[in-house]
Amino acid sequence: MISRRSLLAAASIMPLASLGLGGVVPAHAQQKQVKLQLAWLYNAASAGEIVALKKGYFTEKGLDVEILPGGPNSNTVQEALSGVAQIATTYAPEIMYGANQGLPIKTFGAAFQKAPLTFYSLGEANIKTVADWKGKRIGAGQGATAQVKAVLDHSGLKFEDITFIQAQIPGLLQDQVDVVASWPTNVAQNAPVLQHAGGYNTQSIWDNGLQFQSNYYIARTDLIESDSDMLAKFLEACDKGWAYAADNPEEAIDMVASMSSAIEKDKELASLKVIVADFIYTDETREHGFANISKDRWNATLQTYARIGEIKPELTADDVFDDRVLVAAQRTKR
Amino acid sequence: MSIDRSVGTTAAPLPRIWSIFPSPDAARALGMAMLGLTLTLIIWQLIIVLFKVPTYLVPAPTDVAGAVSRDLPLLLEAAVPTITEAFFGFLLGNTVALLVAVSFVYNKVVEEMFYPVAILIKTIPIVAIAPVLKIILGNGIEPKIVIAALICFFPTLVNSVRGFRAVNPQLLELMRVLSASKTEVFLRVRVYSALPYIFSALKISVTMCVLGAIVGEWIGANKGIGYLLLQSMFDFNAPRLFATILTASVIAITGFAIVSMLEKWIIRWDPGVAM
Repeated sequence: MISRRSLLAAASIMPLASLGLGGVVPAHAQQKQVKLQLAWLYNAASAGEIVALKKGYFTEKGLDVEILPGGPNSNTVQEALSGVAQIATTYAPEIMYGANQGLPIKTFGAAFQKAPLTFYSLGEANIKTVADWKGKRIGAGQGATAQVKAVLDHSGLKFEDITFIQAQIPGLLQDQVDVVASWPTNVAQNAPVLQHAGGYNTQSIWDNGLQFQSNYYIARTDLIESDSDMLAKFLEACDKGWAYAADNPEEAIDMVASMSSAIEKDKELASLKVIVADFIYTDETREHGFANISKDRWNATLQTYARIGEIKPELTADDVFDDRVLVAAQRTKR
Repeated sequence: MSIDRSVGTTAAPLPRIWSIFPSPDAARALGMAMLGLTLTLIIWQLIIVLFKVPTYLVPAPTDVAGAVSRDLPLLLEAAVPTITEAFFGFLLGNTVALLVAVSFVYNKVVEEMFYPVAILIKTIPIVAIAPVLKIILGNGIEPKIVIAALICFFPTLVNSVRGFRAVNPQLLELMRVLSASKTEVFLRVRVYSALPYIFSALKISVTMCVLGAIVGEWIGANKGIGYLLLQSMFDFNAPRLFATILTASVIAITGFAIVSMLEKWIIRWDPGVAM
């Protein structure tokens, strides 16, 4: 039964709600405050989460989510650990290094089913496989040396067989490197290579022995154990957000742009289309559902990283991944 | 009691705040600077055109000008949070530095104990400490202000300690003869001897605090010059990147000009030290 007092309280809030929150479902008292720390700035790679926020999917699930932007100096594992954010997104190597240090952090879902990192070379260089990298100059970001090592190891090469240079796409075009790492999702940034008259070749880490996923959702292990229900709701809202972004990419990019003035919509739109088609939805999500994670893949990746000396060999999938949230959540198979 | 400070003053006793270019010499200096700048831009443009340097690598001045006019609202919008962070960082860093400097000057033990700490703070790589500050202070404007303040702190501390000490001994002697209190000595002698030093430091820190704010924005922001720099770099949008760099420079130069004007306005005596 509704008491007089709560009715009065509701009546006094209503004009406020209609003023400030026009159209959005008013926050209930039981709404849980959740902060999501992104690994990177607001862009197409976080379109699903931003759509879930803007369309009120988190609110529907009883979550009051705040999405915090990241950047190159942002350490999201540390932020999830310290409690600045309950949930963060990060990449596979960070999770492995965290587990290697015994940090109480695990992943409970992966928005990107495949890590996109791909190595590009110009057609003239005639680099068809990783074996052709021998004696070549390989460019990648500073943090990508382990991935390069793993890919080399898979093809029977050593890190000493190549020259590692910190570089991006312009480095390839300026002939500072023979091969350069980039994300195929960055369609516009890669355009000079994709449109190169002499063609181009690619080797992805996925096809070369390093099958980890990307844009993992992480949380403290104690939170996953104590409140997997909240995390499952969070995942369901993200699921819905990504599905909406996949069906309405233009609108999704408008929502992303409303949170970050500097993005170039046409570039982000091209990027979002590739992300959705090749990375969010794959055969595995069709079979198991959104944000799926495979334990076997984790074990294989951990073994690879242990072999190249990046982490200790005794780590297993259970040290980096907790499947209870994926099991609990109602996930779209698409 | 008052001390005649006009001895040695050469400029007219007019309000000097508006007379940035008081003499034909200064006008000539400005003209020459503009000429040099224009020449540099012409050479830059020629190199880009002649050697067909691609825009994504280095944009021509005309590309940058195009980006400035196209993205002006965006640049202005980004400047507001950065200026705010830099301004409050400047205030915080310099206020703390001045207070610490005063405590150093009046208490030898404090100086012996905490001067090494101040040096330690100076040697911290800001880029490394920034993520930690974000975890302590959250995602708002606070870590950015503190980073800007950290950068401002040391130059002002060192210079003002030196300034407070750089007192003419005869003047101190005179104050003693006149049985002035410690407060009087501080307000009427030490502050005046320190001001030229402090302003030298402020001129350094006013440009540095903009840098601090930008570094602060790199740990996580969706607005500001730092954010715009990152997004432009990520997009390989070199013209906008250069336009953003230009905006950061304009902010720093404006800050420098404001501090210089304040200096001319406040220091009307001949400080007798090179600045």
